[in-house]
Amino acid sequence: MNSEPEDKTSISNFINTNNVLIVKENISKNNLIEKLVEILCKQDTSLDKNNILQLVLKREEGISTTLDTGLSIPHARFEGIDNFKCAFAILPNAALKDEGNDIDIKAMFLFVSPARSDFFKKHLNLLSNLSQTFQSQFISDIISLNSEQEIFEKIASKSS
Amino acid sequence: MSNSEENLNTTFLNKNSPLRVKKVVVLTTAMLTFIPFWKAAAVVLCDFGSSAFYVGGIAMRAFGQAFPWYVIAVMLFAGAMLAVYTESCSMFVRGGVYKVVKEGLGGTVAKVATGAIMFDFVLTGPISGVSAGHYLSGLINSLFHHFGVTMYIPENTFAVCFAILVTMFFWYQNVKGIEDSSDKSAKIIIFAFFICVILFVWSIVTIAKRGAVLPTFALDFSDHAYGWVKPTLLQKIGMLGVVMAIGHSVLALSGLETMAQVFREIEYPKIKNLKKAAIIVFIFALVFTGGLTFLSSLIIPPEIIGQYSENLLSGLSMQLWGPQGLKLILQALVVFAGVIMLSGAVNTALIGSNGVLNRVAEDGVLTDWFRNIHPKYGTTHNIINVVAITQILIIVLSGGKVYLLGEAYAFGVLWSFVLETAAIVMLRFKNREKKREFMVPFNIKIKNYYFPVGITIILLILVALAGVNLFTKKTATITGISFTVFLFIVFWISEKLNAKKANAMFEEGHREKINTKNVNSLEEVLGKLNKPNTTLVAVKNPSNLYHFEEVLKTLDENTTDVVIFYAKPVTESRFGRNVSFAPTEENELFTKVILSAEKFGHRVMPILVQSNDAFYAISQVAKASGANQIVMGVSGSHGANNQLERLVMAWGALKKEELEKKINVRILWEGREVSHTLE
Repeated sequence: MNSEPEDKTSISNFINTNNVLIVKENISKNNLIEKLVEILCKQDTSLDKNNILQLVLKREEGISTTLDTGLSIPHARFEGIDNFKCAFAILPNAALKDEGNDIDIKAMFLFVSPARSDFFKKHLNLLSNLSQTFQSQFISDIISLNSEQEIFEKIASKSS
Repeated sequence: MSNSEENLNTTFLNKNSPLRVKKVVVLTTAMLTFIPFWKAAAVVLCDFGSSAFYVGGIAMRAFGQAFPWYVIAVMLFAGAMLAVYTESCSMFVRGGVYKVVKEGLGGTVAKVATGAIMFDFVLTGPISGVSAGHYLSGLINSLFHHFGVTMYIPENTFAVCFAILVTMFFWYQNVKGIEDSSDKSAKIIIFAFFICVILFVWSIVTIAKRGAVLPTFALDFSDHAYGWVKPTLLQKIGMLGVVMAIGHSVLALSGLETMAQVFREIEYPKIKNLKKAAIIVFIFALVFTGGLTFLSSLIIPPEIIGQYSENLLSGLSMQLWGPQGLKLILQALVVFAGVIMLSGAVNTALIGSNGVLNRVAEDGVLTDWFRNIHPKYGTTHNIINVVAITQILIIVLSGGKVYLLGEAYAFGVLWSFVLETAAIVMLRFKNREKKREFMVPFNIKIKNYYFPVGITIILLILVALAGVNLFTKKTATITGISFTVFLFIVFWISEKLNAKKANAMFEEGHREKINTKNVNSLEEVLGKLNKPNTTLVAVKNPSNLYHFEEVLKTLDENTTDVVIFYAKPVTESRFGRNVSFAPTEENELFTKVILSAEKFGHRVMPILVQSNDAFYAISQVAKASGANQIVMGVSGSHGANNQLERLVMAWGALKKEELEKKINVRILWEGREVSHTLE
């Protein structure tokens, strides 16, 4: 078993075939965020979907969470959870634009993290890890995949 | 693909991204380099020390053979004035007579003080140039005589021509904006010190061979030295003669204003280094001006000393014991030292007057015509032109007579000293809460007040000297008052004409002249960093440089380079749906950066990059510079946490391999800090 440093946040720990979504139809950013929040809440039924959605959308009004690699990372910090809750979507057709930066969103990794101050370092580490992992080439490789299982395996192999 | 495009591609991956760094500009303004205390002393001495070449002769013509005692007394008093200037600098990084008097005594008196110091400057150039001309013509005539050439150069005419040529040369240099180098000043002073040592040693040998008689203390005033004072009054008030004699020698204090001008360039720790510079200036001036003047009176026989009133130190070198040929060589060296120091003083007078009037113009007191920038060189050429033309007129009117110029001199320097010292005394009471790193000594503490005994005594001495000079130096009084009144009227009229613009300028504040240089890549400029540590300070808001000043307070310049960095958006960008971002005017921003850097005297490297995402830009600059610390101010609209989030995201996107060293990120605002380590 690999032992990880205490703050290390491996993405594959939070991704499985149940929280990965392939979006082929046209969709707005807010609608995609809502879909991912639904997936996230299915994993933990104690979470209030509307509450999470409001927090994430509010955070989206602040400094942009989209990178020029095409990865968007909407997120929020939430009381009442003790670890990350995540959902991931790819958009093979890349028809979704981030209005603020005029960037095509090709992948979206949505997560909520505990609001505790001692968890903030892990929160930042996950953000950093996501940006480092989902570089342009990697995103291009992922959006060419056809199933959630393939996507999960690809991410797992990258994360290890 | 051009070389510059290749470099951009190498450095900035995904060059089509709207977010990444597009262009890099380095700010090369000279104000961000700072000089050690001994170079600062050299800059001051190039002006202040040059009076050694003429003060003795002027004083001698005024009150006879007792002149060296009074020149030494004035040089000792210079120590007190250096203390006054040190205190004024401890209050204002960009001080000088206008600023200090304005803060202490108000704008109206500040204009009078400016008139006085301007009178000093417009006379410093001519007296220095004419004096240099006399030294040079004296040498040439000595050489002619030595080699049996029957030609003779009329010294006054030569002095006028030489002074005009030197003034025109520096006029041109200043219009072109060619900065004076402290390195050059240091070399001049080292050479002058070398000459001083030779003169001292050779004088001691001469005294040992021939003996010497101490100069008399008795005062023998010439007729015009009485001014409007009746000679019989001297017999009734004995001390009046002493004050008069000092008043005729006080022109040797001209040049101390340069201390206030050079203070902004002094490196950290500023006041400590300024004190060291002041001590060097004091000792050098006492030895060079006071000592050499004294030696001249010992060595040159009284019956012929009058022949050397326009070039006393040449007279000293020619009257030493030894072979004529060697003495001629020494005279040539003395003349060379004199010409370069005095010519330097011509330049300092132009620079100083330009600086003083620019300070006044910043307050909107002068019309736009004065602030007009030269289309090619970017200098305030109209101010320089007016000053240079005035100086040339004065040179011509003087007819090359140093004594005549000396007569008019000292009004400006004395009254500017009186007003500046009075302002500092006033500020002791007005700003008593403000802590100063230095105060003129001899203060009596009563409750929360420091009653300024020492500086008040200095003020009283200055008032006495200035008051007596008003009656004994007719030329100085008439021309000085006329000039000051004239300039005051010019200021008053300009201010009225400028009334609306003055308010706008006051709100806008001073803008530094920022020189910029485009570079092809971040590595090109950041590759020059060579200290073990690098701190990257991101700036954006001119009103929010708290984090920058916190870095400067604790900086160890021996181990850490500081890069000040502003990411200028190429177009208006939006971060988030409802937030818009307006680009900051970089001139205002970097003016504030320069002022902060000057306040502490720390060297920093300011760069400007164009990018629509400051956090990407920060990450790229941090990576290229090998920074181990990033410091930012807090964003009022987003908060420190969101800033950190964006930064780690941008950093993660750019990071390719594990870092050799961790980067500490700090977001600072009043009394608070949020930090994170990038790994």
